[in-house]
Amino acid sequence: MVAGVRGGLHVDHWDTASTGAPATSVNDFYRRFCGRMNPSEPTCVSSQLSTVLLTVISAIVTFYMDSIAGAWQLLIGIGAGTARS
Amino acid sequence: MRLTPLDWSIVAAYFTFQSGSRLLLQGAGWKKHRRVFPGGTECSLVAGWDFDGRHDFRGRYAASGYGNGRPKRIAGNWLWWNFVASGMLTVFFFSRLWRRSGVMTDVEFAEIRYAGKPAAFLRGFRAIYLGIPINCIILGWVNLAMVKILMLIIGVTQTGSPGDCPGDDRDHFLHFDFWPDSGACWVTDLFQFVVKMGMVIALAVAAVSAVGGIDRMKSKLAEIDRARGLASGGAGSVLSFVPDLNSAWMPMLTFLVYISVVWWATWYPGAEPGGGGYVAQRMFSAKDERHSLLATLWFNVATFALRPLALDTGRAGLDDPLSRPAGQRKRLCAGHDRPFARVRSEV
Repeated sequence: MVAGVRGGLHVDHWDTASTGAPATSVNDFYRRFCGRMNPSEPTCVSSQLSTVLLTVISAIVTFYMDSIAGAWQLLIGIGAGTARS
Repeated sequence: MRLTPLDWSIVAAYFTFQSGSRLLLQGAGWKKHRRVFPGGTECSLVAGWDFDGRHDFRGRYAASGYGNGRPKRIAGNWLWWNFVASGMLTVFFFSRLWRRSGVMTDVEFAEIRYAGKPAAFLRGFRAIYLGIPINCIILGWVNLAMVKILMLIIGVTQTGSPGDCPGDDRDHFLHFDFWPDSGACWVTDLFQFVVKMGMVIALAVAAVSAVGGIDRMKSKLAEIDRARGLASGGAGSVLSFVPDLNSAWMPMLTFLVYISVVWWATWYPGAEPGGGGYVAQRMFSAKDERHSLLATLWFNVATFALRPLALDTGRAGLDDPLSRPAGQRKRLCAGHDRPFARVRSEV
């Protein structure tokens, strides 16, 4: 049951965000605006570093976060009117 | 809760499977940066399982009342059910087009759709804005959910959890980022999906059995409805599919805003009209446009139908007695609702 909880309720979402964020920050910022447009150039190290940074920041955010529902409502609030059109 | 050696052996088996499968399946994708995010565009329908395995529902359930101990009826799910409209638009209108676009991230698409410096600025801004602050909020509630679960299971605190749970976040680094072959992710994510849904269904079955069956559960919920109606003057049932006309917690006007405006006007990861970054990530991974459409369809069916069905059934059976009015708590103490507490304890 513990493994189920860990595997099912946490890892799935964590890996989505932790791969998505470095993907956008590296592919769409670092490579696009920092002179790394060569598609054959590996960007694994920069992706890993951005993942570490993201993890540290998210840990700090977690420390100050009290309510999951409140965070969800915050996201919906700041996302209002910003859907891709 | 006291963990036995059997519990720890299951945990160890889980990590062994995760690590072993990653090592075995990692393959040649290590140095191909394109595989890191879209998975090499070689995936078939299994990507659809991964859609579901990777997507969030804790936040949605928390917001609809399930994460904070205050269940707000079945109709409370409309807080996130409204996203089904954008999800189905994504399936039938956009999933093939995303696959056809050939981009690596959805943010990259901004520079294709628009032109010039404004388009470049938009791409850069969205990359940082979505990549860091928004993702950190999302990761924050994901971490918090895990902390709350571990607080119940092994008694850690919010500040003590990293030290008390070695391997938790390190597991993510190891499996998802430092071994960035998405092809290997499919297998482990499929495993996690099966485990997760298996546990949810087991919870629902155990809860309903403890109460005495579906009919018994419905009659108990009807009692709660009657008690609440006498106490607050409210009407309707916790099982109602839509909120009551004069509902205090979701007035009809709010409900109408959800189903007519929010789904197309609000950014939410994976629920934008056309598909947000998380879902687009998996559409890029699909083998072809047909697989992209079918996998997205499966994700929506699993997320908006299967999950609520199993989770709401289990939640109704385990309805927290402490969240009920004082009069009902007295009857709980009298004993006839003890199966709720017993099953919660066992689970």
